[in-house]
Amino acid sequence: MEDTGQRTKQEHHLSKRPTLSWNSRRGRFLRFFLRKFRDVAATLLLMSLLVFLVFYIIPGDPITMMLGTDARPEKRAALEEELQLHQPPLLRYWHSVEGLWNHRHPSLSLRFQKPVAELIASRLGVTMTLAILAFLIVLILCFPLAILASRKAGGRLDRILSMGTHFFMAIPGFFLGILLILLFAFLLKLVRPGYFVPLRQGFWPYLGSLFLPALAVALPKLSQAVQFLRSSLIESKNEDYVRTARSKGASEARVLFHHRLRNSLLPLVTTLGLILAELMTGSLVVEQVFVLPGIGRLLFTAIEARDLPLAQGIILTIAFIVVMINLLCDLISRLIDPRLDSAAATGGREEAGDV
Amino acid sequence: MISLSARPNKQIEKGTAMYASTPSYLRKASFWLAFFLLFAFIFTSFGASTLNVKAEGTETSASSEQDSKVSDSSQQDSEADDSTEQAAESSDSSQEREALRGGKVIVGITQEPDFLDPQLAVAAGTKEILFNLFEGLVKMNVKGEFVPCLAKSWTSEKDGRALRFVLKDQVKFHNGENMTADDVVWSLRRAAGLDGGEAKIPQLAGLADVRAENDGKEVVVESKELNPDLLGFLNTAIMPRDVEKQNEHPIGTGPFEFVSYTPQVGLIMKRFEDYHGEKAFLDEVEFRTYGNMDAAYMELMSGSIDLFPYLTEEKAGSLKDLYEINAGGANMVQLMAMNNERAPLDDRRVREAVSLAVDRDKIVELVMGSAGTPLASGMSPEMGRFFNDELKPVKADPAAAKKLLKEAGYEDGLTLTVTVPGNYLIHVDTANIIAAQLKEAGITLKIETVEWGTWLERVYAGRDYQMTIIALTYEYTPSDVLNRFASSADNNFINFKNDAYDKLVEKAASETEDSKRVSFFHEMQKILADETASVFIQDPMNLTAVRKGLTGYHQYPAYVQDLSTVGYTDQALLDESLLR
Amino acid sequence: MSEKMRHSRLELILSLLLLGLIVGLMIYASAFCPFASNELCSAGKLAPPSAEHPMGTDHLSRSILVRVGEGASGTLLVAFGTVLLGAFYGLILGALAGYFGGWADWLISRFTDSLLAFPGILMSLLVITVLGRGIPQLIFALGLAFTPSYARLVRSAFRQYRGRNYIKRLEVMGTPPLRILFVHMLPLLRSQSLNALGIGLANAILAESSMSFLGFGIQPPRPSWGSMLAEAQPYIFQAPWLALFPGLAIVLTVFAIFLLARSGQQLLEERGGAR
Repeated sequence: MEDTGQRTKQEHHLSKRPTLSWNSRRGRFLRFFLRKFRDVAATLLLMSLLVFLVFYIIPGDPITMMLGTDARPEKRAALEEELQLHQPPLLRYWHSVEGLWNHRHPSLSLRFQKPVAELIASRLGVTMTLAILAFLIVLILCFPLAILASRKAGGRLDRILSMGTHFFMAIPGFFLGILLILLFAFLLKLVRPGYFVPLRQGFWPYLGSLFLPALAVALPKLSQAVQFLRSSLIESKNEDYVRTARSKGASEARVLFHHRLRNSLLPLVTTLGLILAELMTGSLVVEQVFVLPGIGRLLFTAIEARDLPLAQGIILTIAFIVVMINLLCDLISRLIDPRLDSAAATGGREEAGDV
Repeated sequence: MISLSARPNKQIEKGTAMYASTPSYLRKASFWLAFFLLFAFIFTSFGASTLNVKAEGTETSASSEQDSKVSDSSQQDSEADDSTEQAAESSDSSQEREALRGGKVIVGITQEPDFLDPQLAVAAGTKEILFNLFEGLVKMNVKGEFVPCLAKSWTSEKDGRALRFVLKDQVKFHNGENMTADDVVWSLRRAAGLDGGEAKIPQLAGLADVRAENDGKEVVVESKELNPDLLGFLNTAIMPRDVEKQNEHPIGTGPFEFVSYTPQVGLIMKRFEDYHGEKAFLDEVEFRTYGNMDAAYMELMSGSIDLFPYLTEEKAGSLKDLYEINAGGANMVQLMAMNNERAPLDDRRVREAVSLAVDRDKIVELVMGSAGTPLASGMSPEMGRFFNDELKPVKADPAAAKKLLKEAGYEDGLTLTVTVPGNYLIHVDTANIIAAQLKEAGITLKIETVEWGTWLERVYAGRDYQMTIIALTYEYTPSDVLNRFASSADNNFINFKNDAYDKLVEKAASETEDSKRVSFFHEMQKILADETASVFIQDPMNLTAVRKGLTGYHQYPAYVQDLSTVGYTDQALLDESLLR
Repeated sequence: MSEKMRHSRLELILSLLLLGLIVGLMIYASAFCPFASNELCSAGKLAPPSAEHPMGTDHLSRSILVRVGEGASGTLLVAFGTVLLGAFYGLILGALAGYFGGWADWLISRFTDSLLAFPGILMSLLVITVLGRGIPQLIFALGLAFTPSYARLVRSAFRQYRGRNYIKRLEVMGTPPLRILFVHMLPLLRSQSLNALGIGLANAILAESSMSFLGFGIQPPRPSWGSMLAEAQPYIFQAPWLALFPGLAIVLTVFAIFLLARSGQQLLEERGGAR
């Protein structure tokens, strides 16, 4: 709160010299970035500590998990020597974080004995493609559906669509995955289930093999986006500026695209940002159902094998991406609506409409 | 993650103005898009119910055929074993002659390799792949016997405490260098921990010395104490001395050489042209990793995997158009382990009552689809002459079980807890079935599922449990199977204590005459059965799908996928395989 | 308007019917059904739906109908527990952050951000690995995952309320902050809470199913929809009913709760006549 007070004072001070107003805006951007950077760093630090703590507490260590019922003290000693597990815990924590970008002493996965960064890099593509593909499905479909639904609020189409969206939100991703496999692969025989084409065998086949999984992740989120956009459009229907535009003789299409959609844009950016982040994490579970070589399966393996360096790397990567998406949303919101410059200082996204 | 409101909280729906300007085709398209999936859903449920009839028909016929198939192929198997054994010596079996040179085979695997360094590798799934890349002084054949490999012959010295090997000459490593006695000594010393490090192969930790003699033509391996099983462990991989990073790029003397490995994708190897023995038929073998069997199953249905071990019976039934199903015992012992020190299981009568209440045939039928062998004691029939075939599996008899419980003072019933590793569906299913079966004998069974790590620490290492279900796997040596029940053994997790048994373990360890050792091992199995040390359930069968048109695949009684004898019989299929 | 009321009422009836179906199944399975959920029935394994077993039998020849019915109780127990726990923690954290602001707000926001940046399901998975498996542990793990969303909701609501004039007046009058928080501000949440709790409940059911699907949720021999789906996965082509019925149970229950929350709120708003 004191923060805002300071800022208004500063703004007041700056407004005396209009030539510097652009600078002041830049200054505020800088402060915005510094503050965000601090938050991101704190979030990631907390996260990495949490992961380390969990791995420290959970029963089973990597060697126990590897040896299973063949455990013999001699073999255990040999593997401990090989994997350098007798280092003090804090050193292992530090290395699991720092080793992610250290090229000379990279953090090595205990399970695969390869640099963690290399492993993640080879897998991130699939997960990201899946999330982005799903996001595109959401983006492309949410506008026409929401516009249709909002044309006559409470009308038959609206009601059917609202039932439909609620229905799809009720389907868990993994069950939707199973249903899609049953439908497209077994009954319609359109695709081969469990089939994944690596990128090196061509871009389009690769994308095609990811379509079903993307659909399974996207549909519930699409429903969410449609519901949001619909109510936002209905709300704007009788706003003053819409009436004004109409009375000026603007066509309905122009009113829709120029005025109403534009006005819904700001909360929509936030919603879509959240959806993109959820798609990232939602892909992790769907990867299991479709058995895709993405980062999610690697993470499950890492947790199972008690592979701290690998799990640490993956979790930090995911967290970093999610935090970056949020940051990007904040940034876009500020670009769309410069008024947020000062508002954003006091609070995060929730003013823009937390979904 | 979790969103709390599906829609914005404020929802103001005032006017109902129409927007006539939205084109009608857009409206139609969106309408259909939205409802396609809803219809799809209904269609799926509808389709499923019509499917029932179809599935029912195929199911029954498939399972009956499957049953006969399984017994059939196990017979064929024993015949095949004989023929390949000859092949190993004279390389002149009718089967092998048919195979053509060339082609590529894709093997589906579900277990990710752990270490590519053969002396560090732990997982059975890794060892069975590395069998193709590495060899030891001796090598296992399909019957489970150890035959000469990098050693031409050997003699026993110092009352059996030492073995003198004559090395084969002209053996090349994959990197082109000749194998020398130096390499052999270095590899074995590393495995035994004689090079200053820890023993990489625990069973070789008892070696006193390994040295080259007679101008590098012979190697002597000396053991601290008499060890009749020593020879079997000298199948340990021999590696070139100066090559580091075996973990990244393994180099051995096997019939195939390593090409590449990508975690969770697969491992590729190609034929080693300078192999010292009979060269492999195939140009290339790819071990492709699948997250689980379901994923691999899809690929099997479409025919893009040539070989897949560890199939379940349900799946095997529907693959018979494209594949031959090869069945063989897994040399595993699935048991419901009972903590012999924990009341009331410290009472032999209670243990026997539980054992009598379990219907092993039913478990084999429901969990394995009949592809398993019920067991009487702690050894699988796959162990050949060491297996005591006079013992017969207990037949379920709830009435007798009740009587025994009454004798032991548990007239009013008894509650037991079984702790199961939740990641193994087969054991969870078994626990569910046993719970239903024990109910008939008046025993309430509580099932507690734990994570694998917890199981290993608390149940297996900590021995803090009442009962648990697990499958034990072994090296192919009788002592490895049976010594774990000696009261002093550090892996005797059932806390079995029997003086007669302990004496037999000692006797077997110091006996060199084979027939006497065999009788000792038979005796031990009898004690385990008589004392009902645990409920021995079954040896699950390994079902392997082998593409029609491939020949020369044999199941070993240990974790081995030997691809050096596998080849195509059909030129067209061979050519096609290279295009993938 | 009346037409809208009628639709809302129709939705309400539909959702109650669906919930009644599930609850009826639950009661039937536990009290009246001739089979127990773990009984191995004589119909054999993977038997298709029949008069005796209307949903067929599973891979161990257990009746799916009974298992779906019994699965409901565990799932609903976990879902209610999760929402209550999550809402409780969320309320406390959100109220503190929203009302006091400053470093408390920063700290709590960082905490909720960290949790939100991390897939909730993985968070719960790690917690379960630490605590062990079981229903109380599951409720705790999921409750923790639900906390940040509730905390955010409460935080932004309380920030808004703080700006209201009469709250400011109360502050000036020297009312203790805790009293303002829980006596004056908390009741304001009422209008939002029905929706948030309802949707939270639906999401909790989904989360529980996911956990059970991955094997970290409700443990056998107690049946659960999620674990039934996981068990069914190897048989989807041979016996799709194994997956279909527990899956439908999840979808219909969650759908019904969504509808209930929605129509309930609309009816309340209409009745109140406000806004």
